[in-house]
Amino acid sequence: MPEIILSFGFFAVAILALMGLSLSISRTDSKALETAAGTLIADQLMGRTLASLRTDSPPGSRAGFFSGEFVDPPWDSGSLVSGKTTFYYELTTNQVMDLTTAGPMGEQALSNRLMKLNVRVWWASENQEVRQGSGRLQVVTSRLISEAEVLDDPSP
Amino acid sequence: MCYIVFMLLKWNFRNPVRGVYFLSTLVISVLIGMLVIAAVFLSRGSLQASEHLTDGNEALKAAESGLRYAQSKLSANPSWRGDDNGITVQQQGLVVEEDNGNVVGIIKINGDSYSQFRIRFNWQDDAGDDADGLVDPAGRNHLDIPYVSVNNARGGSPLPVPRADGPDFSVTEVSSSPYDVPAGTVCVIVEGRSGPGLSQLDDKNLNPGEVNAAVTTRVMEAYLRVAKLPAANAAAMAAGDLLAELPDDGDKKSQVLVGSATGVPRVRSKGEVTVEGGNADDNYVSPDGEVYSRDGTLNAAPTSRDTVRTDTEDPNAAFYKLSWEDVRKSTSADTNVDAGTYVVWDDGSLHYYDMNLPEYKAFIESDPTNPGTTVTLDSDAMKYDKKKLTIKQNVFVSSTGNSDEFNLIPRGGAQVTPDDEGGAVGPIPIDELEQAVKRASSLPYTVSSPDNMGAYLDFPTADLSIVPPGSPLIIGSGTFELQFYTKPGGEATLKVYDSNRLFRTGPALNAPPDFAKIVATTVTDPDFIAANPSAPLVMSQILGSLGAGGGSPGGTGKIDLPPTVDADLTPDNLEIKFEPPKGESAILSADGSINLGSKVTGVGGSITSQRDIRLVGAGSSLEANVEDGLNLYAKGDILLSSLLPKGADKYEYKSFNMKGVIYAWGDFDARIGMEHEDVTKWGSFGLQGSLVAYGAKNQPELGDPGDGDGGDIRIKAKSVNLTFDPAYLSAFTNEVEPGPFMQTLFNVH
Amino acid sequence: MVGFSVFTLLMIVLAAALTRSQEVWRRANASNSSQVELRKAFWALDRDLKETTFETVRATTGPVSLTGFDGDAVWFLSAQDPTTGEFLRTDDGHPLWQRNILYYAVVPDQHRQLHGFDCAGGADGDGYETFCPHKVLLRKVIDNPPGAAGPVVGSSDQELLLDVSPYLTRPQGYAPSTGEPGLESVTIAAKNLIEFRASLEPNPGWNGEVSITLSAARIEEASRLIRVGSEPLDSFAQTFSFSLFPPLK
Repeated sequence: MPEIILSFGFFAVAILALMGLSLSISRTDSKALETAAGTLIADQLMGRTLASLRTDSPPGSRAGFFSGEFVDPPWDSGSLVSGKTTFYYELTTNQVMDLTTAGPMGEQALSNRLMKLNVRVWWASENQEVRQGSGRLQVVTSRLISEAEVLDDPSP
Repeated sequence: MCYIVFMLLKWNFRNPVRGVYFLSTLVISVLIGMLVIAAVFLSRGSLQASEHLTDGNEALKAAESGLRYAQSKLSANPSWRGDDNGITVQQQGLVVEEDNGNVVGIIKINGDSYSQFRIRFNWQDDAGDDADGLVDPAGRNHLDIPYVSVNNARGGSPLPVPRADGPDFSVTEVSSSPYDVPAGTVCVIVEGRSGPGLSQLDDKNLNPGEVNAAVTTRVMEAYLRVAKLPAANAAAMAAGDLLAELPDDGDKKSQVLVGSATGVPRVRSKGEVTVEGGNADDNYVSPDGEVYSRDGTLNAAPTSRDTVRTDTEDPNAAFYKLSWEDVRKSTSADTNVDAGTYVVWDDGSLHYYDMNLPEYKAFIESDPTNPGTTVTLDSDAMKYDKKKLTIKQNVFVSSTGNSDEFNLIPRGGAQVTPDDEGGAVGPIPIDELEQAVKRASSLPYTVSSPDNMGAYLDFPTADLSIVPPGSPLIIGSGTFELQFYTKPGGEATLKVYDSNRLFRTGPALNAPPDFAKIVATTVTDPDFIAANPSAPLVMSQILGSLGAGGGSPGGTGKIDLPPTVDADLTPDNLEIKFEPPKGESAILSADGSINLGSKVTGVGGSITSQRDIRLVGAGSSLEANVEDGLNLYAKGDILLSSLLPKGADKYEYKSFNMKGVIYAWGDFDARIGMEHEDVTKWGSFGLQGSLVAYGAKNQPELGDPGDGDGGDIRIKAKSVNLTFDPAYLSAFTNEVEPGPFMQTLFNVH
Repeated sequence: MVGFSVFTLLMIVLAAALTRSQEVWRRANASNSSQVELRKAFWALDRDLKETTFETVRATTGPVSLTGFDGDAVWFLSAQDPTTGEFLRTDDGHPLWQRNILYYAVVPDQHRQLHGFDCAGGADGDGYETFCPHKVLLRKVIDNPPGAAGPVVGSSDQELLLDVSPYLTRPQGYAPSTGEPGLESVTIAAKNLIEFRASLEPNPGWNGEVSITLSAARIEEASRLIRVGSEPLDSFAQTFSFSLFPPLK
């Protein structure tokens, strides 16, 4: 009898471990794939934004990008589907400020203004990045963008 | 598994053993646990790998952020190398500090975690050679990375990019340098870092000494070059006409190719843009290119006209203005060399004559064996040895009482064209004279009322050093005479006088005489030439003095020596090589003209003159020659000729390829080919950099393009390849104008 | 007797649990394996494409091994010294092209020896083979023209291949092919892929975009449930879709 009880104990541990962890494993595995996908999507969005700025499409977007910050409303937002997951994204910008002049770094005449582009991609749900059991399902990345790098033709 | 369990049950039923139930359960549970835990580790490993992918990406983005920060700083200050000491940016999510050449920045990424970028220009060598001119940064900003950035934006020649492989990540004398960064370029190498090991980063601790966990590092390298200078936006800018003459053989490869290192390929002319000869369908090729001319047209082959965008050049639009004060040049504080004419004899000896080239020609033709003064020219700055003059540092040509030019020629002279035979007697080639006449017609002059002795032309300005007031130049004798005299105020008068009044039988003199017609009549009429054989040369000399060229410009040309004098050397046998220290320039400057009858080679060389520059015999016969890095700046005209005598009265033109700047206040003339029965081969002309004929000759200062004389660009070559690259302009000036830097190279280490 | 009955029940449940745990492990392992290959492929392409320029990048459809194209082929110029790996540059600060780099996906030959069976294959609506999850992504380094001057500063002889079809060959198992003109090295960038697709500037307004889709299958998991190589693998596919933006020129 004691033997049976002990056996049941191990049985219970094994079953609980399997039930509990298999869900966690599944979620972790999904999160791994989606995090990788989200990272690549964030990169793609950043690259496409720069490409648009280079061609200034739509017209005036380049001038607008470097003229001020876009936090609320953001510079761009939307969603796209990759595999079976819908990824939501938002791009915001901050002006880089020169501490010595207390003004924006760079000037239009020299085409050397500097902006910080922030990309946030999340996929838990449209309104939040946290999902029960999975934690934060989000990738956030930022990079400095210089005006010279998106100039199509620097010649006047 | 089920079968095993069944067999176990069956066996146990028949042979009960104590503890078998527990043991079985234990074994299977352990198996389950192992599998599940293995799966957990696998999935977490996948997640970590994904996070590592994210870390790798973040490290790359951090590195690129550092690169864009550097790009922005360089645009404001082309001399920047991380030395705006202090915190330069401090705001939510971004802090950057510069410390004597080392730059550290942090960017907030996810939640409270940061990624970091680090750049170093500092060699961290105060304990050793201290060769970088920077004080070592504070301890916390000492960077343990071997990659060192180099700013060569104002360098005249390539500069090594060292690795910090010395003690404590320092650069020493013996540190390796795997490659050089070109002149006009900044090599920026940025290390980006991201990962859990940077958890101590915050806006007060930008650079922790030790990291305690995994950090992903990516190193990114880029070359940034000057991309935009005020009004510098074309491969060639001519205040007058731009004419490219290609051979008439219809060779499909004979074309003008125009490109740009930074943006839209473009040529600009305040006059006409013309391409003659070459590929009959498409002799001007410039993908996505533009041509600006006075009337908005391109005079070229049909396909060229259809494929290149043309527009009207705004007559008031500026050219890149590089004034005499702004251009880098040597001064009297540098090594001096006496002005005059240096002649290389066939035995390699160097002979000096204290006279300008036209005077030398006349002198030596009257006294062919005169040795002048044998010199050696041996100093730290320049060394002559075996027909080769090496210039290693700045050299200033110091005017003597008799000369202000620097001339280096072989004993037999330096021919510009096959017919450029020199000599004191004999007609000048008609086509050259006609060209000179056409140019002369554009000289500013007014016509005084003629009298029965001649015609008068008054010039508002003239070079008084050639013909001082009170010492009129009277050329010719007998029935034909040209009198050229100047006044203290700078005005000059040319009197065309012919006592036989033959020229009166030509153009009517009742109307204001046209100077071109006068000259054309006098020097092409065979009876007139027979009666006055010196007339053509007289006109040529007059026009040469007035800067209108023609015949033997500035005294270049073959020197007429008797057969007993050994004079077989040609300019191709001589060489002037510029060989400055890495990253620096070697500049040859003169107040007078500089005439070089030799090859000109090397990198980092510049030639500046307050009059004309003539390189005769330049170029290379090799098909794939390394382009030389050379800058030419003249307040007068610039002439290049690559004529190569081949013997038996046959000639070739060598190819001439250059990286650098050609900037003439007057005209630019490149003779890399010629339609002539004795010319067997044309060369190609290539320039990467910038070509400007500003049209400001004879002006006291550089005003608007076309304000003065000249401004034409004339190139005769088999093919012409122009690529605009403003980085060479910036490397030639004393002060580099702020402006955007563009990326030309990108590499992830 | 009671104990025996209870234990029997316990064993049955444990057996089921063990089977389930095997499935969990198999899926995790398969997922991990496929993601490893996807990451390998991504890093290889990312590294190479970042160092080239878009104006030298070309793409076309790949070889046909079963039914439909095995995938796409992408090739471009590289300034990497094939001997030292150093990035070479011209005197005026531009990449000094040394070699052509070609990536393409292909079903290896000798499939039965490698995997124990042959994939029947099947094409999707675009004409691409999507049933066989055993494709390899090959990276070939090609000197064009063959014998072009090596990594010498000032040498600029390397030309972009105009036609890569002679190089889109099937390896014998995992042994790469040899003998193609100018071919210097072949490496397997990733194995066990379903799909490698590449397109240049697929979207207007985003100049310089190289859009890539990579997918791999959880093969061990799929092989228990379907006939791998003869049926679609959509339910078992893991996909990386990304874009790279090499410098324009």
